[in-house]
Amino acid sequence: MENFKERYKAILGEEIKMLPDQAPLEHFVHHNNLHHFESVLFEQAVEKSYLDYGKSPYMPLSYYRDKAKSGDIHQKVFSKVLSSNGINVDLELENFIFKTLYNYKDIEQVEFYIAEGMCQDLSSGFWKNMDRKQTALWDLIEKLEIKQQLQQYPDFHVNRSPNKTSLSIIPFLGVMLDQGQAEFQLANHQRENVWATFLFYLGSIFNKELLHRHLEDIPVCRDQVEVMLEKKLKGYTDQELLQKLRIELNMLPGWAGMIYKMSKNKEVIPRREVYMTLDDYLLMRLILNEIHAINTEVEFTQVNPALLVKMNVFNYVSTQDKSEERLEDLLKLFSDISPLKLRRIFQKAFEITYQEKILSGISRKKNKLIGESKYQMFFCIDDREASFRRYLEEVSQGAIATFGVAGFFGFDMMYQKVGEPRARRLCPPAASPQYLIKESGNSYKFKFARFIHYSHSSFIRSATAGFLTTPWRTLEFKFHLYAPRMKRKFMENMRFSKLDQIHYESEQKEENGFKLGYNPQELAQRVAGILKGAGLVKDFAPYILMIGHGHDSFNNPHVSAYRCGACSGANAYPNAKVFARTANDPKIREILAKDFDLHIPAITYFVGGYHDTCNDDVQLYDIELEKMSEQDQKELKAILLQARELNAKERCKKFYQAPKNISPTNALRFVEERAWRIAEPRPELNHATNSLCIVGRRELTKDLFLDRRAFLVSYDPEIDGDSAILAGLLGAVIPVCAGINLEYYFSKVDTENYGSGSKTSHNVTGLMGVMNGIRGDLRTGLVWQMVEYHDPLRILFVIEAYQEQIEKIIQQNEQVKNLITNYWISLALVNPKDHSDITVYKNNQFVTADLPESAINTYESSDKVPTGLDTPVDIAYLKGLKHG
Amino acid sequence: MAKLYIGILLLAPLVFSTFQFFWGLENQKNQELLKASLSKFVYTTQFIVSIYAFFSIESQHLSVSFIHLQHYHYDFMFFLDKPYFAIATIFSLLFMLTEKMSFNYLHAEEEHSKFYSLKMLLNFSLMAFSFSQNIDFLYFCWEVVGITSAFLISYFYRRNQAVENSLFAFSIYRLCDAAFLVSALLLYHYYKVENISQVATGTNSTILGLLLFITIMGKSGVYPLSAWLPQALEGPTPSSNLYYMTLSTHLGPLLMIKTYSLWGDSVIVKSTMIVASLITIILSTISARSQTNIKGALAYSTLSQVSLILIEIALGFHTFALIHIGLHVFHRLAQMALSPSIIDQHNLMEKLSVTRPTDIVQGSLYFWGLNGFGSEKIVLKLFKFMLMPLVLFHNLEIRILGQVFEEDEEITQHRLARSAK
Repeated sequence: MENFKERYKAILGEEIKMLPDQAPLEHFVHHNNLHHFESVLFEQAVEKSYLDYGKSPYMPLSYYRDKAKSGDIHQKVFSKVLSSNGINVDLELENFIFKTLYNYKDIEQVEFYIAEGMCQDLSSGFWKNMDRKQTALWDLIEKLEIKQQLQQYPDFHVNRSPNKTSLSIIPFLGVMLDQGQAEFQLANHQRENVWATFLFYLGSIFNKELLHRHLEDIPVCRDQVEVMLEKKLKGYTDQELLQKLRIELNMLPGWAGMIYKMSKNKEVIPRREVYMTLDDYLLMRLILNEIHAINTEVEFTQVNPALLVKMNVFNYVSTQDKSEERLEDLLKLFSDISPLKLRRIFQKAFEITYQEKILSGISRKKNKLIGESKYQMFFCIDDREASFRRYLEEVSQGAIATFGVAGFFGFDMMYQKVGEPRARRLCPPAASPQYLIKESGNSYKFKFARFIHYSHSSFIRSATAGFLTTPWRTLEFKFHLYAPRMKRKFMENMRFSKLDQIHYESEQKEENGFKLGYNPQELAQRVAGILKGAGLVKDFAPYILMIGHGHDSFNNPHVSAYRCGACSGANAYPNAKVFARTANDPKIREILAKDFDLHIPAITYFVGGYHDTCNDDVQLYDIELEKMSEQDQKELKAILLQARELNAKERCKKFYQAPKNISPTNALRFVEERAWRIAEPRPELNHATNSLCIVGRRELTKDLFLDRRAFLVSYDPEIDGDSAILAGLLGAVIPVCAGINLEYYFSKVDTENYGSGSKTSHNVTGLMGVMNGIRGDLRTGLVWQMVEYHDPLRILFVIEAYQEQIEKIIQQNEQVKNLITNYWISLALVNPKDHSDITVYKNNQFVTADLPESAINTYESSDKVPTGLDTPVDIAYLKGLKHG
Repeated sequence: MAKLYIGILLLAPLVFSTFQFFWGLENQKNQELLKASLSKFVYTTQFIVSIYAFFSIESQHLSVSFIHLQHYHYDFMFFLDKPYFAIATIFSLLFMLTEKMSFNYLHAEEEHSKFYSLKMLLNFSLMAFSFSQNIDFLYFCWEVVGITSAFLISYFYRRNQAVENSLFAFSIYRLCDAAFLVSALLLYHYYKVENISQVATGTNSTILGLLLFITIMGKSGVYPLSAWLPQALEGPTPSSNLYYMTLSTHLGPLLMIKTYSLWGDSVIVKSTMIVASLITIILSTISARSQTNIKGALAYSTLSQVSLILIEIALGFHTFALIHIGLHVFHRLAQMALSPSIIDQHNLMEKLSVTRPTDIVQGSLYFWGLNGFGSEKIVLKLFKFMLMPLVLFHNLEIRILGQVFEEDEEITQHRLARSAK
């Protein structure tokens, strides 16, 4: 008894790690898909998941070959990586490996045949067109033996299309996890007594005799589940048990992962309690398997990788007209480079090519000092804000200085909007908020809308609403389609009332275990943390703007994935508002001066704001209240408008449907319209192409064009004596950015398994997930339309700090250490005193980077850079303007 | 003038769909805009023509000679009437709206071109279906709707489930089409009628009516043949919207209206229709309310409304039924198009929520509804015991047709190998 329980728990515990760890859609947070394996080397982790579960580790070879053609992978780098993998070949052979080895047709063919289970046919047709000489050669090659053990394909292939068991259990799962979408809901006690309800369910789909035969196997209550599981699985050996669990869990990984997540993490459940557990689910599957008489045994696929190698040797010898003497050597060499290994090498070369370009660009850049400015603006570190910051600085000609800090501005809170029944977190996923902030004011909601909405399912309402409201509804729909901008503006005027009170000051009370509001000391601490972290301790400008960011698009179930990652997928305007109001408070400023040594001059005025990264709209809060003169308001708004237009234009260069040479004003209109279209799977391109994070002073990145690929974090090494600031910063920034980057990486390399496929056929279920059709698996991860243009590169962190500082932080922080030392991210350090001195983390140590000279173009200003979908510009210098 | 209207309405989509098929089915991004503009042009023209004809034309019969041999002649017969032009207006407007939706939605999809060509073909068959009076031509259009529908269900043909559901839907179509074929043969060879508006003496309206009702049971999802509809929502949202929320499901009522003269005097047919539709209404509204996914709920909900329309037809309120169709399709079109934002809609309405954690629908009834009251099982049994050969035949057929769209990999490899040498 004990023995089985332990075995089962241990094996299940391991298998759970591979299930998708995604919360319901409204709480979508970017995370590393394999975050349980961060303590293992990146390559090992992804390849294990390939060999054991069939999830792709890297892009297919065809992708890399295309990249090589377009110059994103240099052959020089490739040959370096090749020799560091212990493969030393002459130039001709290297050319062959670089250009033709395992031509992608072969690989896809093999994978296709594996999927179809007919590997014997692999080479049929291959030698049909040979002449006599070639046939002789092939015979020669075929006789040779390959000694190496080649494991390069998954052991078995889990067929992900639902079988009978899955089909009959999915509706039940839908009911048990439903968050209130269906009009008929099970009562709470019915949801709680999972097994009694399950019996009812079985009664509805099977006839009595069949059910009676299996009645003994079905537990009556929760306590019997373990006993039943043991009864069913006792006879299995460890290996068999592992395979059984692996198959059963990976039949519907999305649902299994969601059940586990919802039963473990109550915070992510939006509305209704979920009582089902993973044990219940497994037992239900086993019972249904028995009723349906399904035998889910592993089908081992017999792949003959040796054949593939031989085909390539043949290819090399016959096409290059080589003599046949070195056949055995070639065979050995090619079998050393398995397709998997070749993809790994290409991936590495792809990354290094990009990194060398960026690092050599940074090391040779001449920095300019930033003079005094009239406005200081704080943005989120998000890569989508990078271009907007660049344009603000360009347009204002130095009047605006920008900083990048984590978008929740230090205020880790739960926030409850007007008219919403629940609070949601506005802080990074790793933080545990203790404060609840509430908003009060008026909210306007359509009562009429309810009538129409619920005619989704009700017969009588469909009949009446179908008659009464259709003309109006059709008109509205046409506005949605043909004039989305006009429609949205009209709705905005109707729906959103003027804001509102935010109660952020402490009320000395608790609600649901959260403190209501912060006390003055806590407020001051947070303000000081942000200002010091960004290196702003003196030279305060007259106006300091805190701009949170978010996203609003229409008809988009994945909207949370587009919003602020540092706020767990919410719009960050409350944080900015609270920050500004706090920092303007004279009481707080007193505390800041007394306890934190921050002397903010009386003329400095903080303004909260909000930037919508989708339609490039910027709202400023409270500017009309006091302090900001009308002239300044006018000036600021003019600068903002111009920067928004230019930013929109740069974004339009990557939208396929935007006209070429669109004017900035029209570009802004274009992105606004795009945001509010009814059927637009790409309202914005989100974090696609992110690949870089630069932590340092703005001088380091100013006048540098990074093509919206970089997270920019402000940090001043000079005021950070004991590197406590850096430790705090990296502890938050590295996991967040790595999470975003790796989720994009995985969703790109395997859109079907890690990602969620094409968005066009998604069907929202239970207000918490999407699936294909009405009885499919829950699709987790990013949709294909989000990662379509993404380059799967592991993120490169460029940090302006000393080696000792980083080494200290690596020792202190376990997660950061894992990410860096296991190469889930790449790391480069820039010496704060001499920016041309760059060290990179390689082979478990810091070494001085050996950077080749590469030609980097210089442009007049950012809008002159000819970037676009077909002609990406990774890095370029901008002439910039003279600063004070 | 009448010939011109019909010519534009029918030939424009036919020409363009043929054109698009020959254009190639591989998606090329630079052709997207061209294809979209062409179809937009066709649909807009249709819309203008049909609205103009609605106001200007007087109802008349039109006969176009197609084949004229010594002993054999075949004429296309059309009945141009205001209601049919109203329907054509609604159809073309629906196509315009869907076209606007799908241009951005399906951008860069692998099967983009397939979607466009099939949609155009559907448009042709619907327009022809509205006006045609030949029973065999009606049958042809009815078939084309079914075939395009099956191809669009398996739009993502790499997913087994989509292909299986496509096959399931197509089998039900063909099962019901058999009844259509029988009724057509009966009319031709037994009663010597080729135009559905003629009433030949001696026709047995009960048999004809029942056959026609069986015909529409499939496409309009009358219980027990309703299980395929929710399962068919595998394709991209615009195509599901076009077929299952609006056009394909409402084609059944339309056929019943068109053929009313053939079966209108049979009480048995009428009462059968009313009873079957009432059962469908009750069962599918329970099913719709217990669905936890939005598309399933909408599908069952559509079924209940279509059945209501069938009752209206059986009771003789034809104009009312046509108005009901016209209003209902737009209602569903908007709901389906907005279905991805169900979470936002729910948030907006939360305080007014009418969901009921209820004890009324205890246990089994609820779960029966969840799986469509065993409709799938009934259909499968039907296939198993009665029509296995038919299914096998169609299975083969769909595979053959499916290969048209997929280049044979082996052939490709041969060609590559040859060109490499």
